[in-house]
Amino acid sequence: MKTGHHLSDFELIAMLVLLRLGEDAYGVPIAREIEEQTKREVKLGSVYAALERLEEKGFVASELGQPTQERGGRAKRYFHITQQGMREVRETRRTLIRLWQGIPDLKRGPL
Amino acid sequence: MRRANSPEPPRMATWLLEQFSPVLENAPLAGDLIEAFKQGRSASWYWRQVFWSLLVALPNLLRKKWGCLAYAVSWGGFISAAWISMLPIHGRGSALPLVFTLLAKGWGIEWPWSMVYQIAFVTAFEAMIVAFALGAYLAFFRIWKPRKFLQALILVIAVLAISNVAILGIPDWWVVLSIPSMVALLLSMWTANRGNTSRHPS
Repeated sequence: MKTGHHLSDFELIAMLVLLRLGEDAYGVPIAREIEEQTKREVKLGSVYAALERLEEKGFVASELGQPTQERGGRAKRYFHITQQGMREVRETRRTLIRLWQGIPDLKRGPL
Repeated sequence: MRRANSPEPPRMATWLLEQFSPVLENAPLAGDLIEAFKQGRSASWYWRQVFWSLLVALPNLLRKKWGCLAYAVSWGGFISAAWISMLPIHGRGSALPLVFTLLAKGWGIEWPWSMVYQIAFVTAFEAMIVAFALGAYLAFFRIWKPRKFLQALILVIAVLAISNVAILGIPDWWVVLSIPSMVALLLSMWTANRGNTSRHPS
């Protein structure tokens, strides 16, 4: 049996959003995309906390862009998924598919 | 919720964000909040985000900056112990209140100004010790800059003065005596260390 890191719901959502956004993945578009997909208000602080955890696990890497005036002279921090992160996402996807396949049709069931 | 009036984020929230940037350790996050506000987010959204960002940063802060925290707790404890040894708590006598009263009367200071004088005296005493602790910290890590030290010192005095006024309303005020000094020292260390990307003393 495999051991090691597991992705929380929010971490998995963040990683999928990084894949959707590609090279333009920094705080504002990441939070906006999560909000649009989950229909819930997202706290940027939570997004950064999740991405930093993922970075510590080696699933995500980040680099700083150039500071801009519209951001009060602060740089953007761009995130992207590492090879290890891609493997983890694929593994999580396979696990979720296996779990869903064992569940009867929810439309007709007691749930 | 979308904003329809001011193009600039709330000043007080931005000020908080600036002060606590070393806590967040993430200037891009502050930049994202400003950018999102300018794209049409509301002032209440901005405030919520600022407070949440600070809250979320705390566990990381405790984990990464345990050295700073331990240093501040030690000095806060020292100042607290110094005061408790001098003040009349649980019927224990002390000459300190008498000294306050005599000095106030000698200078013709009557209530409520005598209270202001007492708070100023207490704040000055604590600020002196915190300033020494701050100076030692900056000198040890060789990040000594007089201008930053002075900025941090102003913050120390403001935090201590406000806290000392607030503490008067707490029944067992001596229990929380170490907290203002501890908070003031922590904030001043981060303020003095702001913009110093090459060193991040733990």
